[in-house]
Amino acid sequence: MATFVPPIKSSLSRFIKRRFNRWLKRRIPPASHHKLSNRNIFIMPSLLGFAYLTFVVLLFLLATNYQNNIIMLLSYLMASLFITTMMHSFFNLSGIELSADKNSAGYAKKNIFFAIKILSVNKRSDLHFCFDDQQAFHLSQCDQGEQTVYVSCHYENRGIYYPGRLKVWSEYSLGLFITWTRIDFGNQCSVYPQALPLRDSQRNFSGTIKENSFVEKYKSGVDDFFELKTHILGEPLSRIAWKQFARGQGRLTKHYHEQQGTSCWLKITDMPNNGLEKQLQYLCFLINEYNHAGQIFGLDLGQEKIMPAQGEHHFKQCLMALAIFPK
Amino acid sequence: MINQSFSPERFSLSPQNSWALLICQCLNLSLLINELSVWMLAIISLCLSGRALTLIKPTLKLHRVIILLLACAGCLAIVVTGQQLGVLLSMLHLLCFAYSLKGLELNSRKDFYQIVLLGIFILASVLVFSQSLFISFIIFCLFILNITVLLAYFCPTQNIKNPLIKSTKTVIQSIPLAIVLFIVFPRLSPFWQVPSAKSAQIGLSESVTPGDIANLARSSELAFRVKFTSDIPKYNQLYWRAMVMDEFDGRTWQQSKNSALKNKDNSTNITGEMTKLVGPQTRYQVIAEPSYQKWLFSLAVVDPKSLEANQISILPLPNYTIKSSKAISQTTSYQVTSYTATMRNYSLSDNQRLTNLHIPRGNNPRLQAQGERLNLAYPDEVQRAQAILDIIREQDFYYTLTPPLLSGHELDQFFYQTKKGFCVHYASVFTFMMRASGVPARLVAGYLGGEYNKQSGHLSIYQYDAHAWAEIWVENKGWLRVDPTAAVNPERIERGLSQELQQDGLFNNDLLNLHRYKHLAWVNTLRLQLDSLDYQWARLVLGYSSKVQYDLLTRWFGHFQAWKIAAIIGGALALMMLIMWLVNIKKSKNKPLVKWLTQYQQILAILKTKGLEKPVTMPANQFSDLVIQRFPSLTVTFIAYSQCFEALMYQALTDEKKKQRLSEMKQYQKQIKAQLKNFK
Repeated sequence: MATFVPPIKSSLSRFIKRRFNRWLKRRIPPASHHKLSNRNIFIMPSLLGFAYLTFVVLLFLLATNYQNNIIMLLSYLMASLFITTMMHSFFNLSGIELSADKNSAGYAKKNIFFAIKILSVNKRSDLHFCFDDQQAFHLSQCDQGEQTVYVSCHYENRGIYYPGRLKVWSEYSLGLFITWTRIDFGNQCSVYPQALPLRDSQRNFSGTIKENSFVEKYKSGVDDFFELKTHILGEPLSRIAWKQFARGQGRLTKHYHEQQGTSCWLKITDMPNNGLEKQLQYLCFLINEYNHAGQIFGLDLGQEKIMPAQGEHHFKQCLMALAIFPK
Repeated sequence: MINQSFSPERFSLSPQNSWALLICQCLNLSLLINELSVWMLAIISLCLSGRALTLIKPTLKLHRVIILLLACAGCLAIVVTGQQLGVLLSMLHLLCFAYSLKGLELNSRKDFYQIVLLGIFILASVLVFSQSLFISFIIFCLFILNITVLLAYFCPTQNIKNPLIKSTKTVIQSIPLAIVLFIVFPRLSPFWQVPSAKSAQIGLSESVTPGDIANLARSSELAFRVKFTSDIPKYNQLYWRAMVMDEFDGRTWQQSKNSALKNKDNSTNITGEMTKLVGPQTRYQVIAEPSYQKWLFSLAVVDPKSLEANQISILPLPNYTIKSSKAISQTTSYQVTSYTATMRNYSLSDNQRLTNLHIPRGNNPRLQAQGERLNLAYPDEVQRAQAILDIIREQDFYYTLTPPLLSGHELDQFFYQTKKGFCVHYASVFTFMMRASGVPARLVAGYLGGEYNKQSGHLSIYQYDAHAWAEIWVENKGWLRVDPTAAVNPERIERGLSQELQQDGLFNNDLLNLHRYKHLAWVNTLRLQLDSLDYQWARLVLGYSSKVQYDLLTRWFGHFQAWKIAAIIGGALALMMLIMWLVNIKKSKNKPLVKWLTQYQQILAILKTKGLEKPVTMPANQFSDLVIQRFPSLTVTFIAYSQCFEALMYQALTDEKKKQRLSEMKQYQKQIKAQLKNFK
């Protein structure tokens, strides 16, 4: 949404924002682990806080005009409560240890989550987490110990994004203050294209149908169960033999008899020609399908080629190639 | 900048909190029941029950028209009753009305904040009407409750007890700084005139008809308290003058209008003449409860100079009473010095003499006739007065608080037929007879005696101590006090109303009244304890005026200077913050994380130094796989270690099993540490 902002004002606010960010960078440098303390917690009266202060002054005037000592005592008590609340607001955040994974990935137009681990000695209340311009996550009660929250990011287009600093804030205990911090985990968010289902009719459109066309391969290979092997980290979870696992035989992976020699290629040129972004979205869908089926496949994006393989690592690599494909 | 990006949340209060808010509203408003008109109370209860309905049945939505109707009805009620209520009460009505109506429109956070602040404002306005210890304590508790509702919004829990404890703690932590501010923060004089509380007048009224004071005698409300700084005079000398009534219309005694007017013109003159004070000083502080009248209480004769130092302006009147310039609408204290031995011989003008001799023609003819007979029989005024007292003493007059009703020539009827009455009857008859016999005489209304409280050494004077007596003018001696009640009931003068008399018609509509149970020793002790506490409250807190403050601060900190005040407040603030800070640090240290978590954290820290960091989302068992890949030699220990950790973390174990697991975990921890040392 574009609103008119006077150029001087916008440049001024941009200038202030830049200065503030530079200052923040020095004050709270990026790290994977932050402990909140007076070094990185900011505290400001909220709108209610200012209203409350005005109210205290009003009570003081009332007390003075009526020469009423008890109302005066009440106004002093409220003023003092303001300070106490400030301390409690600060204590509510201070001492929390936060750590987060640096990287996260997901699809465009879907929520991508960053896991934030909270480690706290005391109970905390009313915590909010969010990245700039993103949806906030509200944790109304944080128990003693370890807790993980998932803070979402939402992007419209594929690419690599830096969500920026994580804002953690709280209005506990009386809403008189906003206590907040902006910590930098150096988060990086890989956004894959949105998976766009490819209908059969469209598949037929796609260029020359070769012998190793994906339609054929898609069907076979899944059928013939071959053997169970010990699970290796990175193999798709969908292929873990859960029955055996439940029986306590450990983590085994189902392997299927496949025609190893004929691997298939997913080519960008094979996709219906509805523009580059659409093509990438189709590819994303297919990569998902193939991976789910445990199929061996390669990705051909023209300049960049990924050799046929299978497994979690390969899958991520392919999606990543889509994400960073030049526009 | 920060505020803008916070996403707006839908506002909703938890059911518990909504009920708490409603209860809070009811309690806040219930303190003002006495001040609100019946119509307003009806509308407010409609609003509150409407709110309760929406809470009981959440699907029910009050139609906008209903709310509009309620709003219109409330405004109408305020407009209609506004004229007779006066400014202050009208505003109070508006406040209470807005407060109860707001409960029906609780749609956003702003509404919620407004309602909480309005609630606290209502509490403050209750204090305009009463500042007793009891009310103040209730207000304090309700303040905590109001804060709890606000707090509960930010930490929603199933029951309200948790936030209640938290808010109580927070408020109690705020008390020290509040007290420091109360003591040192400079008191200012009023900035502008405010409408004062107008309430029904309490205590003595400005006119006395035989039968009036009997009603007062049934009331055990406190009238005022006195603390003597010199010796306490004897009980029968404690004649607290409030007003002098010298105009008699045949039925009612009242203050003559010109005496009040006259005072203004030559007040300097009075002060000049009244300085001939002799005898011992009696110094005392009076703490008067609100009476909504201007009359103040003192022992005659007051030293006018001693009144000048007071916070409120007090005028001495030529009839030896004192009067405040404003009606007493809140607990007020003042300092007085009296010279009780001084003669009240301020000259009597002809005009005054006439007023004090006036009897309506043909009124109470038998008494008038007897008065004239006495004039002949006893030429000396004092002897004449004594003769009347003798008549009262010798005939079978009877002192009672429930005299028979009188009509027609009331005093005649009382003196010759019924012979049953109390102080006003006797004083009226006496004054009337003295006037009839040619001696200027007048009625004085006030209080007699007081209850001595040993704990704090003050006197409490209750409404049932109200009394009326007479004064006669004797040439060269001035006004002499004569109390005809002494002739019929000496005990009243020496010790106050007797138990039997009080039981007669006293407090029978108030079972909870502690005065009713004076004969029970422990109740009486308790009552005196409470009285003593309330007195200290009135003296120390209510009586803390700018003058007292100035004296206290100069005594403590020497010369009064602004920077000293600022330094004290700043110091107290810093100290409070420091203490809270230290307590918080200690609290965090005393409550370490659960043991297994701390241990696991340690291992994670060591692994991190070896270049293996645990991703946040990864469960412990998966991470153990990762560890094994990296450090194959740890395989056995680390898997067992992880299992122990997960069991402790996520399984519900008995205490015994927990201990066992924990000790296992400790062993593994040692082994892992030892093994990890070998890796460089």
